[in-house]
Amino acid sequence: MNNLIRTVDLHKSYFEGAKELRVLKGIDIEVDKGEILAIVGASGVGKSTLLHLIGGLDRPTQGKVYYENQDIFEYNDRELDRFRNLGVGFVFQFHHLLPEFTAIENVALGALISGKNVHDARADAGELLDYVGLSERLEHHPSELSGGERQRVAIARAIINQPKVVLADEPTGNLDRKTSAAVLDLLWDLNDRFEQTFIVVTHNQALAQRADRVIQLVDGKLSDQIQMLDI
Amino acid sequence: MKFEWFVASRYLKSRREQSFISIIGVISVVSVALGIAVVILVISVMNGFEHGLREKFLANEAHVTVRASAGDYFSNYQDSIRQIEAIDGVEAASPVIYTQIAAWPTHEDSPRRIIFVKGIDPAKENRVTGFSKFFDGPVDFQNSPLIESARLQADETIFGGIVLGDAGATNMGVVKGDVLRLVSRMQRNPANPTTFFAHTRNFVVVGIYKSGMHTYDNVLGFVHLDTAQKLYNKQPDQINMIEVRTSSAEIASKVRQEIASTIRLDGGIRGTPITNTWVDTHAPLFDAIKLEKIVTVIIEALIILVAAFNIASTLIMTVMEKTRDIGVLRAMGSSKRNILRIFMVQGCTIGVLGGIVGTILGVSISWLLDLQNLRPSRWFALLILIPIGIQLLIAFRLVLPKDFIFKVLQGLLWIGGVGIFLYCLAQPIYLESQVYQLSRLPVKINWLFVGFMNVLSFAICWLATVYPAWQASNLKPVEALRYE
Repeated sequence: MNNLIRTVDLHKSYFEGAKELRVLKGIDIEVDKGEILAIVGASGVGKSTLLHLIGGLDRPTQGKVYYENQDIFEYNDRELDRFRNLGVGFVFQFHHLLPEFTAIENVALGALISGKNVHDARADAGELLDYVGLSERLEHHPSELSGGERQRVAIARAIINQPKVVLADEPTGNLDRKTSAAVLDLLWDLNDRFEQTFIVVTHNQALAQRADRVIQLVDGKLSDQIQMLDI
Repeated sequence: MKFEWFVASRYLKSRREQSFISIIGVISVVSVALGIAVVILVISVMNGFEHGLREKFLANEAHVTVRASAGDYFSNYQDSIRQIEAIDGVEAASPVIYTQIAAWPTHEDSPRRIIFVKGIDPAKENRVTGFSKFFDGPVDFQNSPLIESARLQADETIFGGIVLGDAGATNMGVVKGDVLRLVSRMQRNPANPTTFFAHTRNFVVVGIYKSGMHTYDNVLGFVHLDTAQKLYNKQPDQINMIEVRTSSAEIASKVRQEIASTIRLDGGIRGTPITNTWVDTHAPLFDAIKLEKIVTVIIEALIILVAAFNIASTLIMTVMEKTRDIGVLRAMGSSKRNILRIFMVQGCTIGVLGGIVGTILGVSISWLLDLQNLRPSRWFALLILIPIGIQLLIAFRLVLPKDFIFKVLQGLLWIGGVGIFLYCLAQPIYLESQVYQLSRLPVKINWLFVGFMNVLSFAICWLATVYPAWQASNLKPVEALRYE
């Protein structure tokens, strides 16, 4: 059992009054260390929900998520917070950078949460931003950055604590083709360099084709047939 | 806490232009500050008023007075004084003949006023009330040269010297050296029973007394004890009151009880003394001041409560505005506790800032009101318009404060402007002493109270942050992330 992440019979339902909306109906995935896994599927099929469960942001109705063979939902709140802080990094479709903070501060926040002091956190963040090619943009606020730049800051933010796995929810969903390609190159470069594992929810065909493995969600279940969606 | 401070401080000075939450934050700080400043100011003035009155009362009055019943005279006062002075806590006791008497200046035909005359032994009385500091110079009741010259001028029998309160003297139209007639006794005219003879005695005004308490300055006069005894045909050992000074004004009532239970006078009803402390005499006034203070504190606490609601609504709006950011922070590994603290820190910072600004404002205005130096005209307060104007220019983007020096200068201009504003406006306020007993609005800052008010306001602000912060910390990360 060398996989980094394993989900076992993962179910998730949302309840509105007495009505049950079953989003995930038994998902079993295994993700190996250093793998880039693309999850594709139509809108509203539960891709983001799956990502949130793997990242410990939400609790499943049934089933388990193992991270390094440890069930993350057996963690107490404190351990789960720590897992989200150090074990995983999130990249969202709409970057979700905090508008009050500069690029370098946005990246440094994760390190601050882990308990680093401001000086060290900023130093690490500066290095990362340099690596993603934004060394000129450290003190800019998100509103002063372009879409591609924001997403690169968001990626830097996700990896500040060197998590073993990065969960990306349509990281290029909001970018044009050329900018998307640059962001994808960055993901693959990170994968090469740090052997970081990526689980990427995407509609982007280019991304899915480059991924080590693609899985498709259909109606809350994994589908055997991979159909590429036209974009 | 570093992380929480980092985030909270950034939220407080939110730079986004569409965000008016920081402006509401400023308003919250200002409202807390105003609440605290006003309460400090009002209570300081009330304290000052109470303190001023106490000082005046204590300077004019004995701590304890001992009388024979119904104003009767008693004999052997020297013995009684010796006994009283032996009581623990008594510093000095002084014999007094205290009476009301009609008086009028010689240039008029009929009595103008009733005055209170104290016949005193000046040296002893001074140890009890320290009254001589209110005289306009050294006074010799019996051998003043003024008496001699009046005697020569008026060609009348002069009975003795009298010291008059300045307001009383002004009202009667007499000055130092003038002669005043006092009626010692009225006698029915045997020939015509509806009329009276007035036995009058002439006194020379040998000094003027000015305590600043209108009540006293208007109606009080002093003569020598020996003169008073002669005036009323009393023996040299007869008086009608003993005044007592205790080692501190606070133990007056203890000493009073001791005197009441141990001393028997040679006169009155079975020698039982009627005793009073200075507090008893003025109890209704001090009770009224105390009540007023309590009411003020309650009203001001309500003002701070309103400010606290302001803080609560600011925070609730911040939580709403930052919902998605809270989701992101949770995704990055912040605990519920982190989020709770971020918002608690924000609210408490508003409370603390308001407390500091309000304390500085309240204390400095109180201090300035008490500071008796010559100030520039109140119009100079308009200099505050300079920093306000520059701020407006910045607000309308006519001037852009990009560089650091400019910001520092603007800050200094604000501090200077507010300083000059207060310095010119907060000048001592003079009062009608006939109404308020004091000639100037007195101020006394009670630091314990200032501390108490700050603690109270912080507690209220802290409570105001609990609900919004709790609400923020309990947001479900996934739902917060989905929030648009």
